[in-house]
Amino acid sequence: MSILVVGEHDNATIKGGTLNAVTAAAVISLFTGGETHLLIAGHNAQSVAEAGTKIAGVSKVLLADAPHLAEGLAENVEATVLSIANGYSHIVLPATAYGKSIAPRIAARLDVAQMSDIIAVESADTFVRPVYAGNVIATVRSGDSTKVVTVRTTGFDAAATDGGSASIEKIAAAPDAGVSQFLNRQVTKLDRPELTSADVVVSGGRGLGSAENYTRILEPLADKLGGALGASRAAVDAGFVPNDYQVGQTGKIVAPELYIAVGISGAIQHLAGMKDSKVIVAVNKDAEAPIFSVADYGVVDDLFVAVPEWVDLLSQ
Amino acid sequence: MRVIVAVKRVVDYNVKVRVRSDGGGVDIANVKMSMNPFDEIAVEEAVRLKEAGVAAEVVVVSAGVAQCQETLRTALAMGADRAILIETNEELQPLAVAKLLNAIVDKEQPQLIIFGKQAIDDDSNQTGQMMAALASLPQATFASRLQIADGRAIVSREIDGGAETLSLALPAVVTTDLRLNEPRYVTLPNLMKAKKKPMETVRPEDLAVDVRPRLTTLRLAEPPKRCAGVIVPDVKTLVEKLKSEAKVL
Amino acid sequence: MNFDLNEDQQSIKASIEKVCEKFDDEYWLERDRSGEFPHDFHQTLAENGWLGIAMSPEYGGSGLGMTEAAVMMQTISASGAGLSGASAVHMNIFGLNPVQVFGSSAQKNRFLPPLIRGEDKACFAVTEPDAGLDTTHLKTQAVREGDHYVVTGRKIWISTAQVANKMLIIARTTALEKAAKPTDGLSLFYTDLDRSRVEVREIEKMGRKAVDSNMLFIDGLRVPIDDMIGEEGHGFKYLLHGLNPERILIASEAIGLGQAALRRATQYAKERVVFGRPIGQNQAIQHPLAQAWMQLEAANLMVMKAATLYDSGKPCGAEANSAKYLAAEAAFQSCQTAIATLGGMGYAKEYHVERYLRESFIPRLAPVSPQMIMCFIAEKVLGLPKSY
Repeated sequence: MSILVVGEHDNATIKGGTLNAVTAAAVISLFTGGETHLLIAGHNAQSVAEAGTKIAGVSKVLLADAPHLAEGLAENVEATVLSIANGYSHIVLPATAYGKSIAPRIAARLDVAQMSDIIAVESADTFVRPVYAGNVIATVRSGDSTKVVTVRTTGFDAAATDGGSASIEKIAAAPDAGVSQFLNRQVTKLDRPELTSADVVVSGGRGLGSAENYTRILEPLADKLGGALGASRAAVDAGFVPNDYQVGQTGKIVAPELYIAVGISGAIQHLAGMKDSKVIVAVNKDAEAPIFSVADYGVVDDLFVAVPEWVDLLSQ
Repeated sequence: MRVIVAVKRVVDYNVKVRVRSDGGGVDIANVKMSMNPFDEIAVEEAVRLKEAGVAAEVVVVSAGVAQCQETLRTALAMGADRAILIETNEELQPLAVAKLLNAIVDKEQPQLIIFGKQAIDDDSNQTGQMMAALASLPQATFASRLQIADGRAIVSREIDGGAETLSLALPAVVTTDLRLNEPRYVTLPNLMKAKKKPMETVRPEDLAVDVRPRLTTLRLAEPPKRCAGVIVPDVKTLVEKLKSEAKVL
Repeated sequence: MNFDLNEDQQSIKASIEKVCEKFDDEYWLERDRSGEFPHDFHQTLAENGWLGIAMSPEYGGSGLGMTEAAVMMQTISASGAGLSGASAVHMNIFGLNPVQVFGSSAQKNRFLPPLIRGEDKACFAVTEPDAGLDTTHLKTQAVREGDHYVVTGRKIWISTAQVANKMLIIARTTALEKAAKPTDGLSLFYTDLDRSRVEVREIEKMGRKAVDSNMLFIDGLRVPIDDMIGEEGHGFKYLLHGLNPERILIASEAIGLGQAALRRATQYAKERVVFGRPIGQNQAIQHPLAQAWMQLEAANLMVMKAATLYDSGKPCGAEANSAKYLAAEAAFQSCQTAIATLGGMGYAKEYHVERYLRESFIPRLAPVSPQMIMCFIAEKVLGLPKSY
């Protein structure tokens, strides 16, 4: 039996999390021998389906196209997935806001359990996932006939976006459930990389003291390093940055190549969001800050001195 | 309008849990337990709807061991009207809880069901969505703003990269995100008043729900320890090391 | 014999813990530095109905007992707020007990609701420079003049007088020589703290800077006769009503303080690695911490026993005094041990334990010295001859 990946997209391009989900599916298929199919449910999303055919590891792209699928409404995507769910041993979604909203609906309708945020595949029915804010790693096995999983994007590399040569099969979209309506969307304008997929993250905490300082001190560093901007919950709560900058247990989970924590003390809940980064640098004037216990490189100094100094050095 | 709020009793978010040496479970004996923080937000939102005259009754529901009564009592002290405990010692997983809540929803016929987006012990983020699907109801997850207008729920939800607004027909399911509201403190007078509020206990069998777990936890382990690194004397050394040693610059 | 906290008490503990979460150690460290009264902390407790925990519902209180009040005060102290947090509200919890028991209906309606709501802050003016334990020899006089008493005298160690607007004050209305017995002739008043007639001078102290202690110079303070509680000359008897609750509460606050110190020390002992092992693995570190735990637990049992007796209307003098003694000594030991456990860091303000130690002297010394308590037990419990 095959593995179905429900792809996330905006009707124009595939979103990064889908590529990590495809990789997870590929690992599962090592155990099952099944193919990986990618479902694109959207509207006027032909280009997305075409991009999907080129993803390494995808054997078939299923395209469901209807106006009521345009905005990714969970009830409608769920219904479309259910219409084809029968043939699949595994249904895989990225653990993004999109995937997290839809996957449980599918699982419930199939009367099966779901395993959320998997970070590894141990076998066809056994998966590894973090609990207690990542302080405990659980290995769980599902006894259900269909396994529904959401994939923590930082747990798997992104599949290559070329090399694949899948075919596109058009499928009928399930009818509009008609119970929810998309009104509008505000995307935080980004002219720097997206937090969850950036290679470098420059993250600020309460130590910055104000929104103005956050911008003044961190943006130059992020610009120089081509990095995304993140923040601790304290900084978000203090109004320095919008909500979606938050890195932590209940914010974004990131694992960039380089994570720079500036003026962040390192509460457990924040560490849960970044401890899998390849290299962690911490800048904090408090030598006892917990962040130093996970930082590969620590600078105990006033951030208002150290960060500008760093930017200077990079400019030379 | 009746609102149902699901609450879960979990290990307090300040507690750092430890895995038992046999890897078979997490050591939670004598550990402080509290209402799941996202569920507190859910209760708060429901109580605010009542105070605004939008909701007529707020019913809180919890499933689990007898001590969940404490959690329900806290919810009553926050302003909920009535509590239902679905008492069982069985390990409850999201699908089972969704089915139990669905049975309650079927009986109580609320117009709105509010869940916390995830429980901070299991971090599954499933129960609200599952219940919505079982009842064929619309959902809005990760709500940061909720309004009821013209028989619909207008919900702003936090998504990757921003926020979006949905309009849902009622009855609907909403799961709360952190920024929806700041839960009130329980006042002592309300704590005392809560003692008089009704708390009903039922069992899963009474609701004809099979709660047997579907997932088996094979083992639990602490994550591989990240070794502490070095404190560098200055930024110049940092940049050098990042270039030559870590090779990230 | 059930030693568990009941449901209400557990709920109270959990709810207070939540309130105190926002007022963390950094907040109290800052208060200790600046000496600023924790108004927002007091306000938060007042708004949420906690000040009236042991006051009658008729006036806005919740009518619970000293046991619940003790749980609340212990929880506040144990959060790390210590005596700074506890003393900010302590007076409001039991202090007006004499008013509640002996005041007229009109007085109770006038005095209790604003205090419970947190609108009034009251200080408790009993002790004098020359009359501490020896209350009957106090010299502040209240002389009747028409529909007022005119009060003149000095008081010392009056907490919160910098921020209070009301004062519960005891003064002599009948001279000692003329009184039938020394405990006669004292009268109790609850009145406005008129700063044009009362000079409040703060005393710089070892610890608990956030909650001021003061010397009061009272010079012709005019107190309306309607502010006199109960009958003239019977004030001492009324005061006695508040003594045991005061001891119970300060004992519970001491326990909390000791627990805060123990918590910090234990955490440190787990994390601090020296010679390749956490220092908590060494018996010389473990054993004093274990002793601290045992002593605090034992003292707590005495506190709870005293509170239970008080709430049942039974005599509790021996238990209340013993609780104060045991709790204060246990807290002191715990705080000292905490500093020793933290080593050099224990001496640094940012590790908080030195602040706890500085505060731990308060329950040792006040409201009554350990030596007086020992005399009391020797005399009243063991029946030994009075030594003074």
